[in-house]
Amino acid sequence: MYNRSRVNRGENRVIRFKCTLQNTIADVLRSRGWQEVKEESGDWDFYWADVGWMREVFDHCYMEEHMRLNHFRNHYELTRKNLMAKNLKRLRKQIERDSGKIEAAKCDFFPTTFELPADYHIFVEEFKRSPNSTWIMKPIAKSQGKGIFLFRKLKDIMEWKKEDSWKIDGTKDDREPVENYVVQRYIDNPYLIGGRKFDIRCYVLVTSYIPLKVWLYRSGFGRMSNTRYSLDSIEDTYVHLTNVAIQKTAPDYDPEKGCKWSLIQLRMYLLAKHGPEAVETLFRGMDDIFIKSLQSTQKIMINDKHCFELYGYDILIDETLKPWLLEINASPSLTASNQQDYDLKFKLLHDVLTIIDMEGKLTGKEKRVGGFDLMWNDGPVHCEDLSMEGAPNPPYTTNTMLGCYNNREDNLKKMMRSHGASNKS
Amino acid sequence: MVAGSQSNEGLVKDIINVIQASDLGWTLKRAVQDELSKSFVNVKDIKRLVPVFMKESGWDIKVRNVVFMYLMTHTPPSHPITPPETLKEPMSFIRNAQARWEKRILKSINTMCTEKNIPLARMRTIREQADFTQKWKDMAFSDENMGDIRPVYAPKDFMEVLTSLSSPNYTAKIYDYSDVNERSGTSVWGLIQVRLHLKTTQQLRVLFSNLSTHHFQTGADDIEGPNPEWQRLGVKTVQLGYTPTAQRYLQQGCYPTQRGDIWLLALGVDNSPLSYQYYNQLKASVFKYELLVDRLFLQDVRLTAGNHEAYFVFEDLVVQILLCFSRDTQFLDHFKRTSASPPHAYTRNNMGETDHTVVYPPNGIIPFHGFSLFLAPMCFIWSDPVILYNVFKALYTRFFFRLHSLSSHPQGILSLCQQFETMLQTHQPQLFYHLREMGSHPLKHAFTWIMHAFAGYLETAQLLLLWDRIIGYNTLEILPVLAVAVFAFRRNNLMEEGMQSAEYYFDQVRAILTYNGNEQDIQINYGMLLLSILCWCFTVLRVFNTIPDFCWFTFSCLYILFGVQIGICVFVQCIGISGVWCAMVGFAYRMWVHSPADPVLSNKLIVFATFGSYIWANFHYFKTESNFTTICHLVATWLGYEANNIWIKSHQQRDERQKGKTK
Repeated sequence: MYNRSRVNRGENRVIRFKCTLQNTIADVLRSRGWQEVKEESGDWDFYWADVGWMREVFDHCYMEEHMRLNHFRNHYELTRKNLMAKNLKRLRKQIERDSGKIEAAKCDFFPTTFELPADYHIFVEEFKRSPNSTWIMKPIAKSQGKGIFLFRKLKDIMEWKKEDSWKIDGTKDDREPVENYVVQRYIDNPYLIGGRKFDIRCYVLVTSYIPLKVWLYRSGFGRMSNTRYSLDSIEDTYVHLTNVAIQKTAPDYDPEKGCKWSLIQLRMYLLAKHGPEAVETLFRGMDDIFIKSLQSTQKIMINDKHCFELYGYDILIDETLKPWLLEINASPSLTASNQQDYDLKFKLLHDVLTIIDMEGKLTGKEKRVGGFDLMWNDGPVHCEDLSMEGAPNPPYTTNTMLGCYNNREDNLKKMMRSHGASNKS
Repeated sequence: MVAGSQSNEGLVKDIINVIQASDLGWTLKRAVQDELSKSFVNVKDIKRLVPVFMKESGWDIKVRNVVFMYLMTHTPPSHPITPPETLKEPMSFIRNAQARWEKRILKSINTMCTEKNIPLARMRTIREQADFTQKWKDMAFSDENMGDIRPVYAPKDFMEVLTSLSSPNYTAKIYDYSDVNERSGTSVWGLIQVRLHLKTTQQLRVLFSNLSTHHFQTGADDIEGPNPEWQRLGVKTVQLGYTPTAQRYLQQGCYPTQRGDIWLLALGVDNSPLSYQYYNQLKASVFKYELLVDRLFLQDVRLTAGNHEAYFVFEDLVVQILLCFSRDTQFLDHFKRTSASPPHAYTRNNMGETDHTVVYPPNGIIPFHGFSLFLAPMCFIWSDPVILYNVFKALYTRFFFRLHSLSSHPQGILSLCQQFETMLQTHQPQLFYHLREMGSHPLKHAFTWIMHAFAGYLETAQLLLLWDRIIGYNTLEILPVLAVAVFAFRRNNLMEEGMQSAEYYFDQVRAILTYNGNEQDIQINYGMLLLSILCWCFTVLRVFNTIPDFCWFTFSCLYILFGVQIGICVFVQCIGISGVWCAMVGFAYRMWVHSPADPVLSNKLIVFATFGSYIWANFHYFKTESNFTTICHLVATWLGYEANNIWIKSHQQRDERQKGKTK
């Protein structure tokens, strides 16, 4: 008990951390001067765990009050492709019941999705209703673009069906368990830059589900496809998937290029092409995606004050500048592809740890910590009066600054100074 | 005043000619005709009505813009009997140097032609044309192997030309006192030897007064969000459509949303249907003919813009536009204003007859390494190739062509480089001296920044803000100012850098001497060193007559041995001093074997102990370290042995000589 109170006040004792990954996160943890504890030891204050550990150990493990862990118990509710679709559909129905269709239309940010083999019949119906559309099949449990393919004809998946030998009604027990897939309408009019398709990766930090408290990181990146986009070549996965993991295996991948644009660059490009209003609507739409998707699981997520979660959102923009949610990752790739990428992730994780506040330095009322802006605190967080005098209406209504200049060092310095001053007085 | 008004008249005539020849003149005439042919117009009123109509319909502003652009881009007419080559470049030695440089480029292109067996130009067959048309959209992805095409020249080559240039009638007054004995050495501090008339810092201050901190600066004062007032002003500027206003607005930078419109206005670029037609013509000629420079452009894009973290996306757009650029003969116009002249090629069938020379490439410009970076950043503003092309054309013929030709023009690269060096010397003399002493001359870094107008070195957002200012102030002189500012800003880091390298060597020497802190190695080696010195004392001492002689000899040997050992260690990245004791033991062994036996027992013991431990130590390292170490030890021992041989022989000879003298 004595120990804990000291940890909370951030005195004397060094924080002990455990980390199973050996990449940027380990560097960040060490750089804060925390002490690493060896494997198998349960004696930690902070644990950056992998998802596997959560599944196996979490339930049998007692946690003291000050301990912090980087996943929620049932984090997969959002990150499994099928569960995410289910949760979002449910939220949509509920909103339609409560507030009518217009409000529910705000939830239309994910492409029509079905789970196979369970929803096979409904899918076939939908498929027949909209000919000429392209569909994408994704294995539920796999990540980093493994096992994904596109098709336009039902025939194509009939073949696949045979290959994978599953039947719609009842599988034989001696077979391996059926591999579940989701089938999703493929967004075939993506926004192209220089003829290339891209998607956006943003980082969202949830520190609590009840009440919902969400932070959005200002920086992020657009991942460019390596080759020119066209629907003629649906066999060529390199064109269609922007996962870095996939692009890395492309024959002419050049690690120096990285194929990444910073969000600042992307924002500038879009501003020049479409003007501030359109870009503002786009970024508002993205805010909606973050909040609505988190709300969809708010009730079923097992809230635990020891836990927090850093989500990586993958968002695609179509020709009409409408954002679409592709996927949410609970353990976004923290391995850096080049120096720039490393810097981004290092700073991101640094700020995450500042918000988690093991050292007890924050007051809890901050709206901004480093590169993170508090966007939802049991309700939308409004922006402080950023507008200059005489401006008709402030350009930002909510406190999000995605793709804006990230002057996190200044902010951190300022914050630490003001807190230091208040502590002394 | 009479002369003044006369030259003004000439100017007015020129401008009228320009307007009449342009698209604008024609449409303007039509518009006025349409207006006047309306039924209610009285013939008597025409003189009064035309100016009113011009003002009301907005033609007035368009004409003003053209006049303004003309005045901005053309120097006032000079004396009528000035020879044309003086108009291009008044200083003959610069003119000659430029001609030599052009010859060099041409030669290297010709060599490339013969080596690679590629013709300078050829017509595509119809099938090839069809293939090429298909490939057009994917230029950058075409699988053509470009590996063996090298850029004709890189900024580094051009800088060599600039620094080797010196004026024949200028004697340097500032001597470099550090090499005062070599009168032929560098006579000025900087790398640029030519002295041209430059703006003083005060004059620059006046010129760039709107860059002061009193004024709002886009990109610096709006970190917390865009300034709405400045945005509104931008909208107003666009609505007004007046070139000088747009230029003034750009002096403080503009926001990405408005940059497109404001640049078009400030550069006087109109994207008339005619320019679309023209672009298509250029495209057609790209399809029809294949030039050697195409490969140069393609390769350049691949190496620079296509390999850049922000511009790789626009790879094919940039290639397309640059290929059209190489076919555009309108660029030949700008050679009237520059010291450069377009290279010529002979058509094949009429070799040697000057009648049949053609400009090659058609636009007269041969790309250098990084040329595509002039274009790539603008892809962030527009995606229409025609607009991009027109803006690139305007920017190139107004500013960028000066960055790769030798001239005495105040905005030419020579002046810019001199400006950079002078300013850095004046305001940061310590830094300049420090870097120069370190052997990394500041211009060596800043030259590529200036030659590329910072493209590829600054983040795109910042780069465009810089180019805003170039257009706004209508001068490139901001480039050296920024380069100096970068150096001043990084002053502390740069000053430390030298210290760091000295410290680095110090650390290395310490690491060598302390075996990176390995205690066993320290014990063995310093023990051996002590023993071998003792052994050396007992064996070598007898040869010397006096103790001071011996000490002097021993210390100089140790000094040389340590020097050689550490030098080798730094060079081959190894650690240790084992070579020193190995050589000493070798030396002592030769001494011991070839001199009469020592009568004292304790001396014998020490010598045997040394040889014993020498063998043990070598065996130990033979087991633990790589064979290379043992070989080195043995070689060192052998060298010591041989050195003793030579030394003894010289001793004997001296003794014999002395004996002969005494006899």
